[in-house]
Amino acid sequence: MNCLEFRRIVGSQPHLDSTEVREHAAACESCTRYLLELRRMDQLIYRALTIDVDAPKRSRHVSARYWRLAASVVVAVVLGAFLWSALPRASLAEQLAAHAQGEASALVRTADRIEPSDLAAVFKRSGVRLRPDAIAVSYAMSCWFRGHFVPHLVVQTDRGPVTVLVLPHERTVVGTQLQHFEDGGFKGVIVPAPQGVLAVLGRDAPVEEAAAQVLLALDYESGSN
Amino acid sequence: MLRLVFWLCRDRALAEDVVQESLLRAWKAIDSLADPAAARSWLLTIARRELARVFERRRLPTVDIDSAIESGDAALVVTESPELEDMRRAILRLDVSYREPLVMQVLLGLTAEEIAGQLDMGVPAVLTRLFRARQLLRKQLTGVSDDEDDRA
Repeated sequence: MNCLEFRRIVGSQPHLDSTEVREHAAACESCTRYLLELRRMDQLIYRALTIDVDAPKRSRHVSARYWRLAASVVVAVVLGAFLWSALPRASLAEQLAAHAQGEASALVRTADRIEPSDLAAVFKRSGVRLRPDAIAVSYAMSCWFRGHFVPHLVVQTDRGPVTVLVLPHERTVVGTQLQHFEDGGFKGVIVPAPQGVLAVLGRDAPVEEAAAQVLLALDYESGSN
Repeated sequence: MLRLVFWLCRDRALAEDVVQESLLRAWKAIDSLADPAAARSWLLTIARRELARVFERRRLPTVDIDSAIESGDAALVVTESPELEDMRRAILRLDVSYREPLVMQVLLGLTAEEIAGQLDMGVPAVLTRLFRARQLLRKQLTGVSDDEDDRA
């Protein structure tokens, strides 16, 4: 065995204990040093590989770049949420006006009244109950509006008919404030309700006053929203 | 098993997941272990296959070697010996084709034949990789290659 063969063998198996290896090591000082160095290195490799498996995991180092990224995501989410909460309100007003326009033929002064059983059917599954005879309802329909079937009423007031939509699923975004709007020839008001909001639209009738009357006539079931 | 998988994937959290899944698989397949004496190599095979599965399933992020040592895991942190830290850094830099047989030999005490069985390759190829792995480590740590050593 020459030095090259010896080094190739011990380089792959430093602890190999063969007669050939022992004989060459005994005859070659340089290869003996090489072998001892390899064995020392193997001890170091073993110690290096023997990581402490019970060591607690350290939280990963988070660079400033990631903090900036996280901060920008938070800002984007907050800003998006703010804009989202602001924009639907305008959109809700437009949709209310468009919906009222679609059923404008019902918005007429009339002495007709809806039967209590028909009213009850319209309010069924809405989570809201309308007390019979509390207000004069001339039209009642369950309408698909912004993802839900909601009660759509025409309420007769002393100063004319108003369209009422009971929207228990809508989120109030202006706290307890009323929101007035004008769109498509309608004057309207969106009023916070015990659940969601109530929207009242009319052409000449006092919508705010009508909204107060309707709210007093409605019973909201708890936990239905 | 955890140490082997860690040194293969260089990610402590991933290694723990792989070992956990491997042990579950082993438990479910315990009936397939005919010879209890072969339990260790059987478990290693399961762990290596599970790790391969994870790599196939996921597009794993590249592990930066410096950050793996400096910020990844308390298990890698060496306070008592700079030379250990240098060695860990050097091992992490090894290509996995060299690192894997080296870990199997030095850490697990597998023979060249056993490693060849695990890696599904011939014994001469395993010996070559082990030799090359030590050459590379030696060069990284001392700056001296075997060729230069021979000339000296």
